[in-house]
Amino acid sequence: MGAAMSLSGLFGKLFGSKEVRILMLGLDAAGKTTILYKLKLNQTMTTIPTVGFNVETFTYKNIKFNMWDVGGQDKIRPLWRHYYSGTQGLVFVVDSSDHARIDEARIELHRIINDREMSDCLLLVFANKQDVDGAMKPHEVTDKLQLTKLKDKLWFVQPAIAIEGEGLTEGFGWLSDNIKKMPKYGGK
Amino acid sequence: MPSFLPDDSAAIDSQSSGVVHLDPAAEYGLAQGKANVHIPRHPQSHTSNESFDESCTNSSTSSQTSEASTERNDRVTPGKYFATHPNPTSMNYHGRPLPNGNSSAILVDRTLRRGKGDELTNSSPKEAFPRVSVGSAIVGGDSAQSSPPVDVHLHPPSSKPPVENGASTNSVPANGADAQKQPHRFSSPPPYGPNGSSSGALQLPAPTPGIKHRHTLEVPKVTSGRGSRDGTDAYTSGRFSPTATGAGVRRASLSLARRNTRSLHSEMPRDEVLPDEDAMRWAEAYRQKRASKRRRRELEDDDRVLVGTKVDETHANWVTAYNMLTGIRVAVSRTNAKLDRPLTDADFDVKQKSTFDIAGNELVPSAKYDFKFKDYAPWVFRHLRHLFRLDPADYLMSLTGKYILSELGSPGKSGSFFYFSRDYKYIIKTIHHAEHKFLRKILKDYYKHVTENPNTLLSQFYGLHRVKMPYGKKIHFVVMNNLFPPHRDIHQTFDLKGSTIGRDYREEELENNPRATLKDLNWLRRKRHLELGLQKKKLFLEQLKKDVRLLQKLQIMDYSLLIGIHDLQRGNEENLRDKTLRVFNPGGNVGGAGGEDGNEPHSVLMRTPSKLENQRKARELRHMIQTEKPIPMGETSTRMPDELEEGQNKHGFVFNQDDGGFRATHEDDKPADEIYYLGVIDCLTHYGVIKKIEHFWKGLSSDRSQISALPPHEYGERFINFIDGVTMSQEEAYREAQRKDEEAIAAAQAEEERQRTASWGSMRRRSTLPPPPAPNYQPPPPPNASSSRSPEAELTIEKAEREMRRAGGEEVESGLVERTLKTISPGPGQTVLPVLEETEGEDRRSRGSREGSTREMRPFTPAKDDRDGYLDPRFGRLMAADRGELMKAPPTPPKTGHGYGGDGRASGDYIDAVGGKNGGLRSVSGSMKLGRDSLDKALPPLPTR
Repeated sequence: MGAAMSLSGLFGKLFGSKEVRILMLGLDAAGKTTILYKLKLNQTMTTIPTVGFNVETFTYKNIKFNMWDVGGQDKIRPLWRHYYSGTQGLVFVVDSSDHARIDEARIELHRIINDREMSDCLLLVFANKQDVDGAMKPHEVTDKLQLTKLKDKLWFVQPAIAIEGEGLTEGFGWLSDNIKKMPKYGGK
Repeated sequence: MPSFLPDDSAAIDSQSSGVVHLDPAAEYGLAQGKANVHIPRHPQSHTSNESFDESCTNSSTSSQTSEASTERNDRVTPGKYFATHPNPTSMNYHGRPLPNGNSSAILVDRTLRRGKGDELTNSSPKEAFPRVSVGSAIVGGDSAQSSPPVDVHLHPPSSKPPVENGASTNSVPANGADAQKQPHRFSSPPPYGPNGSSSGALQLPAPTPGIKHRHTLEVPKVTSGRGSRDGTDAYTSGRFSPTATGAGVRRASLSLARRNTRSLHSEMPRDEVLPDEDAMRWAEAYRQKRASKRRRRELEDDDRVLVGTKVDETHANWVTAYNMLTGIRVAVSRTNAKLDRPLTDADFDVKQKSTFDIAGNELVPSAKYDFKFKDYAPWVFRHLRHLFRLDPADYLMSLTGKYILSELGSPGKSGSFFYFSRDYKYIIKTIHHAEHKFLRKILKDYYKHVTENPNTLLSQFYGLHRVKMPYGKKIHFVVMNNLFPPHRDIHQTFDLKGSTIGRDYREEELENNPRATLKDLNWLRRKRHLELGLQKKKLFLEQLKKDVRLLQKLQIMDYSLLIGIHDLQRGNEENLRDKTLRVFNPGGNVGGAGGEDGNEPHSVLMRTPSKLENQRKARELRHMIQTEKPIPMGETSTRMPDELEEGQNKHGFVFNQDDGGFRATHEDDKPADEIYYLGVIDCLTHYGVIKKIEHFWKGLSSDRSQISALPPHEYGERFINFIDGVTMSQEEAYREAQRKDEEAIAAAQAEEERQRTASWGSMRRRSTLPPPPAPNYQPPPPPNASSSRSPEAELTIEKAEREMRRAGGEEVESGLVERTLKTISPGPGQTVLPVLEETEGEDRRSRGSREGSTREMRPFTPAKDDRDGYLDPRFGRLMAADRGELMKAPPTPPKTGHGYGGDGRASGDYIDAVGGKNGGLRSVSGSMKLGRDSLDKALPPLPTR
């Protein structure tokens, strides 16, 4: 209990400041790393397939986002779970133009949020690559991902074009609004 | 309780994870019971995997709710909160309709529930009087405890919405449809907002309870928990005394270490505040179920290790291993994600430090334990991995995809620990601080060498790290390649240094330890050769020379060539890997304690370093070991693969071109029947002061050129010459053997002659006399077809063979005293034995005590086949006589319980001592108990005079 006591103190510290840990996942080539650096540097970076993770911190609307972008290659998806713990928000990035793999994305998404460590986090879905012809509209993405089946989840689908930065602030606006509403954060 | 029934049915009916939350009563302990009641039902209604997932979620949500209630309890006077205090969190839920539940559902549920109840009654004795039916559960709950339902009454909304919902539909899909009609189409509606009452609120905000769950370490609960516990005890003891005191925590702890795997943090508080005894019993039943399920799953495919002792949560080094892997994962992930860039000089000196803890921070994710991790020269090793053509994703996954490692039976001579990655591809080896520093020093040269020689035979280093646990010491380790393949039996392993002093593995021991790593003398005695045709021989020797040049330049010595031999004719049929390797799987097979097996694992684990153990774990582990038997791999579901996995074959590397190894070839470069898995290992020994002293000391007693501690240059030359000398194709070797045979026979005859006439005092003379057969100082025979060796190689081999004959040959005689005396040395045995003592003293001393028992029965360790029979030409006759017996007594070792030690891990013995030490220990345990000290004393190959 002594150890637990000190650890709870740690958490208290973490919560006192409005600092949140955001985990960004999604299939490979969905645009996660691009989004991360667009948000952080407001630049469109050349990216390589992320084998591993990038982590950046930035502040938006008085909330410090500690943002983890974890590679989405098929092979390393099992490693995602190592990043769940302590995550308050999940940003799931979908390549809206990739009709073939939207089902795969759905399966992965549901696998993530069914994990007990992720059961309480906010879910923001970026329907990325809206600029591509034939890209799925946000409601299509919603349907395909079967988000309406989620019962105890606060979720939001945001259309986005990462390379132009379109939709990103809106998405994070939603995140920060809802984070502030969470009693834990609002209370302090 | 009309208002309550629908809620309850809703929870049962929908089987969706969210619903538990929706139930306001779930805020209280009673809900716990319900949650757990309805979880076990899932397997009945669903058979798919998804249902399991759901149930998992359910359980977690239920626990969260209970924790949530605990939370709130903090702000509330303990004991009274049940009935009187309006609940802050459930207030949030006011505006929200309850999704499902109408009266029709109840009937269905009741039957379902009853069925389930029966099942549970059968399965767990504690459920002697489960209040299973819906009606009784609720009524019982009300009458006995009354508080939660009262609370329900206080919430008008919770009773109203069901009616509305019932009026429309109550099925989940229907609600989903409702949600779709909402304006908030692409998102769930804000849950705390004023419009929370729209049906969109089905996506109930989980955050509140969930976050609390994650941070269950907040301890204030303890007080409230105590309050509620009192009540519980009072209540429970009245009716179910057997289970009354069994608060979840305590009982759970009896189920041993398996429990640790689950978030024990979150469970503690939950269990403590459970107000309802009924709920506790359900919770317990479910927990047990889940634990057994987990155990079953763990036995399955995914979590297996291919080789060795699995390091799982109960293992003494579990925390170390966990930290190592976590550190590697984070360090490698961080570097690999970046865009590649050329190396700079500074990269070689980089140290990157991370501090891990349970919360994580801006740079590292959370980890289970607190520790510090240092990553050395991450960019250099990233490039090295690239040069060795490792797929970054494969590397990550092999090592850190699961927290599974297997440990080699015991630390080697150097005291290093070896862990294999789960798929047997990589080795994590702890190294001494000096080695660590040395590797960093030579890193640049090494890197350059690898760049220029992608086919290098040297150990491939993939990472250099350090882990430090609080109050622990710093542990340095490297990640390197495993030379041996997971998919091929390695029938014989040799570790060759080109030295002969102490480079012998006692043939007698082989019987007990058939997979031991053999050494130079054994190699020579078997007339072994690296059978490579001209092409491959050239490739091999050229590369070896380049590598040795580097080692010489870097002042490194004491390395060896490790050769694993897979005999294609024998193939994998003997399944050596399965027979000789064992998985230690605590909790898997509960077998009888004791027996010969009982000692075995014990001795292994005694050798794990106590510094790293926390005491409780050690005790637990010991208990486990005493009560459980390791299972031979063949009997578990674990199987070694017979094919190389995708991506495992390292295409393009010369020495891994044939099935991951290097296939023997005939003189005409046609493939032969063996595959070699070769590499130069242990190449981090700097010729420093200690080695210099060793050189000097050993030099006092033995031939200076034959002891293993030599200055790097000489060491390298001798090494190359030796390997050069033993690398020849089968045909070549045959011719060579014939030539030697003739010489040797002649020599043996001369020797016999001399012995016959020798006086008793000739013993000394004999041992110092140069055996005649080798025409040492003559110029080598003109290079004919049969010998392409360099003169130096010839010389080294001659020397070594002479040495071997002196040691090994005598040993053969002594091993078969009765038979040999007549045929070979008619002189009295006494003349022979002292010599023998002299030549291989330290081996003899350590093991001599038991030798008598095995000597007579020992069949000669057979050579791999007849052609290459176990014979020194001098003993040709003897062997011929003996061979008949050999046939009868096949080499395959008896399948005893012994294999658990180190040897079996085929490769296992990267370290000289492993085989020997284990063998020693094991055999000792077989015949007589020797103190460990005496064995240890015998370990360092010191001169015997």
